[in-house]
Order: sequence, then structure tokens, then C-alpha cells
Amino acid sequence: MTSMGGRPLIEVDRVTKHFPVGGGGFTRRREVVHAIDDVSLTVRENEVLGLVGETGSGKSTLARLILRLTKADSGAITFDGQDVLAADRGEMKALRRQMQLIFQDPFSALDPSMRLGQSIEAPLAQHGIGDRHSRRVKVAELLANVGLDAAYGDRFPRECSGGQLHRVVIARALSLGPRFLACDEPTSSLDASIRAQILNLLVDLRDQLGLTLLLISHDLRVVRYISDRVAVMYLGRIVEIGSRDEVFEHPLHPYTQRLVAAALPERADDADAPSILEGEIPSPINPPSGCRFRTRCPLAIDRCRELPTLDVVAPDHAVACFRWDEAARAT
Amino acid sequence: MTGPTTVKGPLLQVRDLRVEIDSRDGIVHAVDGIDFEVGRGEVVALVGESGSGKSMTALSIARLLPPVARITSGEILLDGVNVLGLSDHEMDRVRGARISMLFQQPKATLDPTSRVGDQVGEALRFHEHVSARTAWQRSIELLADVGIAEPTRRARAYAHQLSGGMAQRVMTAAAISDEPELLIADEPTTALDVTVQAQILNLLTAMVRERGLSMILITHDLGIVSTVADRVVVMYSGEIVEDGATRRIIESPTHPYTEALMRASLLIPDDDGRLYAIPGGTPRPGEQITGCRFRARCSYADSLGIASHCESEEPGLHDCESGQHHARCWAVEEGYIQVQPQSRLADS
Repeated sequence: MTSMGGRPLIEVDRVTKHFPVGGGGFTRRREVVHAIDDVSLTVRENEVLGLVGETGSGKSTLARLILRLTKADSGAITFDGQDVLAADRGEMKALRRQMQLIFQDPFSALDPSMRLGQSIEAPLAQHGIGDRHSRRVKVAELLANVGLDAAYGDRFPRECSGGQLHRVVIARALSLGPRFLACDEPTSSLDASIRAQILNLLVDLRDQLGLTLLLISHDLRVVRYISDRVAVMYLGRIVEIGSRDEVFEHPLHPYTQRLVAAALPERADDADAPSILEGEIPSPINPPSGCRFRTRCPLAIDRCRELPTLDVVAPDHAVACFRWDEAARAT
Repeated sequence: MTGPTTVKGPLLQVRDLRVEIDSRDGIVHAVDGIDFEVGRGEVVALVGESGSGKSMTALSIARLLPPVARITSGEILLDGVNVLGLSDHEMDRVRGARISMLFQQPKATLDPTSRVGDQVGEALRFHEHVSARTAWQRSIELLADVGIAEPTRRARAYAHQLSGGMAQRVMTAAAISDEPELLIADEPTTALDVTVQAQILNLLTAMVRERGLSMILITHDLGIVSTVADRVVVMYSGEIVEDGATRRIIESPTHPYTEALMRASLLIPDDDGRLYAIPGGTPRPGEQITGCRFRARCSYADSLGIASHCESEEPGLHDCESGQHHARCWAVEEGYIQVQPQSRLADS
């Protein structure tokens, strides 16, 4: 993996997003989902940042906030120095060309009544780029980029396999020449062999096109393979972030340690590997005070009722835990 | 356990099962003549990629095939009785009581309009004709058995109030409620978070051990197989290409497809930093292939110089070790690929 020290492309600074739920109609009580709470992070140019966490940890919301598909309640987000939250309509349209999102399910991401070439061409037409002929040439080029023959442009989604449609979705995301691609669980619906092909493709595109990637996944094996750096989220907060090797070889947060042990059972042969995590992630509606993991943490002490900050404890490695040094000794 | 204990032999025997599906491209042979057995208390993993026929096999055993699919030949013997010969009414008594299923999307499988406790107790009311009150009590016990905290309160919950992991626990409670002999779990952890996956696999393993259940675990994830299954059956393009003890399949896969699938599943990069992917794709449904169905993606056929054999004639399921291990491959049958005996494997 290359360019660990790239300059910041995206900076997320103390961003918070709460969603009100229920409370409509007769009851006055409105509850709030703490989807993202006071999250700061940097995505560096040309790197792959892996974002891991369980369902409900807020990882997809964070990606949507960066692309402003959902607007943050507070905090600041910049893309290449430009304020994303303050961008007006015209500025946002220009920003959208540079940031794209790829979803998990390629079948629902493509219009079943449109030929694949039309789907790939649509963003170009939307942004008024080129004429019909030049766009056709561009579509063929994009299909070649993702390893598909130009003839696929004339096919309909139902005529293709899941792996092929995945490539088409990636080709469409690349059509406007973005610099940043957020991939939300890009491989979780795929068979092992197709998954490997798509991951190889994403790495190639990063290298060839100089892309910056945010890869969201709950599959730690995927994240370990593709990421330069890894951020771990739990109930709307980042609990650990660092270089891939630091996070996987020396996880410091008790949560990360258990996540890694569950995902990479080949390590479970170690007699002192952390036990599997009991219970489930609590509801983000009333998250625990202080450290949100304390209700499931075997190392929790009274002090964990306070909120730990995300502190840098080693080169390119930060953790939000009062007891990270004990946790490090425990493994 | 209510199963007849006098009957010897395996609990389930699948003999020459063939399933056809009507599709846009004509008739597809989704399952093309497979044979396997499940012993009492045994966990057999059915492994394969999308379109390999593993789910159609499972649905055939429970006789829950969709209307476009039909069984064209074969036998499915449960304790020696062919379930394919039972009337619909008789099959209703087998399903739930002797064979239960667990699906990938637990929240979609639960009825959104009915309380969890009623759904868990449904099989008891239907099969055992117990009172509503008894069924409710029994479902609270079952919810406790599958590790649900506050089962009395949870029994009154609806599906939308459950997390994915909790819903799969509820489905497990419903599946075991009438003490079936065979549990068929179709990708039971695929939709769940990795930490919850481990919990559900532990639960299923405990259920098998404590209740003497047999289980067929259907999965495309070879990673979860090693912790749960006694034996593995690998399917490709509607056929079995290899079967054997789990350790043998995981540590020393014999069929080139099993080996390739293992390698692709591990997500460990080669020296050049790239992930191994099996070349090409699975055969299109309905595609006519002469010879070995994996031939187009297999590197051995060329490197061993036996490609013409592989292309002209389909290999049979070769017995590699006294009926304990089979592989469908000419390179194995003709001795090009050496197969280590299981005993040697255990020593290494």
C-alpha cells in the first residue's frame, strides 16, 4: 500500500448528527437517535480508509454526511479545503462530481428498464458533459476501466450477474471523474471469488486514477486487505483509528480487540485471545453515558462513566479508552 | 426425542436428487443428481457459490420449493421413509416436527403482525395441540434456552422491535420448539454482524450437541464451516464435486475447485499484493457443458496435459478413501493429484 503520508483530502471536524424518531401524533415524547456524536477524522489523498463497526454504529451515516446526502447538525466538513456544509447549490453540484458513493446492492442501484450504457451515461448527461457521441465513447472507456467489454453497454441488468453489475455501478460512479469514492459494503453480497475480483479492481482504480477511498465494511478481512488506515466506530463514535497494521496487529481498544478476534478466528488459537463479545450493541436512542462500550467491556471501571477522548498513543494510532494500556497488556 | 431409535443407519439419505427450474433461458438443471447422507447428531455443511444448487437442495428436503421448480427424480429418505412420497398433509406433520428450517433473513421470515411468543409456540399448537397458555409458557422457556434475556417481556415483542441477532435467536427457538430431528440452516449468519455471527454459530452448535439434532448448514462462507461442521459437501453447478471430513476439506482440499474456493475465501494477498480470484465465472444457468463443469476455470487440466480428457468426458465422484472422501476430478482419479489419507492428516 502506498502514500501513507498524503495530504488531507477530507477533514471531518467534531461532526454530530442526531435523528429524531417517533413522537409524532399525540405523544409529546420525542426520542433522538445519536447516529454520529462528535466525530473527527481525516481522509488523506490517495489512501484507502477502512471504516468498520457493527450495524447501528453510524458508519453509513458518516459517509452520507461527508457527501452531504444528509446534513450534519454541527461541526465542519471540508473537501480539499472547501467547506462542504456551507456550499451553495452550484458549489455542491461541482463537489458532487468529485465525490461519489457506491452502495451494497447493485440490483437495486440500477434501473431495470435501462440499458447499462444508459445508466453509466446518465450522470454525464445530467451534468451536460459532451455530446451523445463523445459520451458513448466515454461509456466504452469506463466499461473497459472496470474490466467489461463495451458490448455490456447494450445489456439490461437482468442479463448480467451480480459481479458484472457491481462493475457497472463502479463504472457509473467513475463517470464524472471523481477524486473520492465512498464504498458502502461493496462486497458483502458477493461470492468469495467475485469479492476478490472487485477488491482487486478497487485497488487498481485507486492506483491508476489516483482515487481516495472510504471503504465501509463489517467484514474485517476485507478491510485488512484493502485499507491503509482503519477507523473503528461504536455507537456513533470513533473508538480507535490508526494504520492498518497498528489496528490489526496491536488493537488497543477492548472493543477492537474483540472485533478482530471474532473476525479472524485463526487468531483464536492463542490461549489469551479475547473472548467473543457477549450481548449486542445497545440502542443508539439512549446510548450509555461516558464510554459507550462500558456496558459490554470486561475492563470497565467507575471512571468509564466519563467520556474518554480519542488520544494519540503511538505513531499513527489513536484510541478512546481510559484503560488502553491494560487492554494492551491483556493480549 | 421421539424418533424411532430402532432404525439404524443415517437420519437422512438423499439419492440421485434432480431439480429443474423453468427460467427465461429455458429449463435449468439446478440440482443435477446428487447423493449425500446426514448421520444422527451430525452437522453437514453444504458449500458453494450462488447458483451451485445448495439452496434448492435444502428446499427440496423440506419440500418448500418455489412453484417454478420441481423435483424430477430421486429420493429423500428420512429414517428410511421417502418424504417425496408423502401427501401434502403428511408433509405438514413432518415440517416443523421432524425437519425445521432457519433462513438468512430472520426479520423477513417472522410475521410482523404477531407477537414473538405466539410464533415460537405455533408449531406446538399445530403439531401437539397444546393449549394457548401452555404454548405461551413453553415459548418463554424456549426463548430463555436460546439466550434471550428477559424472555417473558420479549415474548410480547414484535419482529420490528428485535435486532437481527435477536430475531435469529427467536427463529432458532421456533425451529427447535417441536424437537425436530433435522435442522436445515440456510445462510443463518450471512446477514448478521461478525460478533453476532459468532454468537449464533455457538448457539446452533450448542443446540446440536445438547439436543442431539442433526443439522445441514448451507453457506458460501468457508470460514464459518470449520467451527461448526463435521463434514463438508462442496457443490458446483448443481453437482457435488467433493465431500469429506471438515478438517480434510479445509486443510487439504483435493478438488481443484475446493482448493480455489478456499484460496479466494481467505482474502490473503499473493506476493504481488493481489487477491486470488477463480478465473472466469460459474457456468450460466442452462449452459450445456460436456466434460468437467469446472474445466474452463481449472488450471490443472492444462498444466497436467489432460485437458482433452477433461473436456470430452465428465468425471464421476471418485472414492478417495473408503467411502469417507470423494472428489469429482480426472486428475484425482488418475493419480495426478495425490490424496493424503485422513489418518496422515491428523498427525501433521
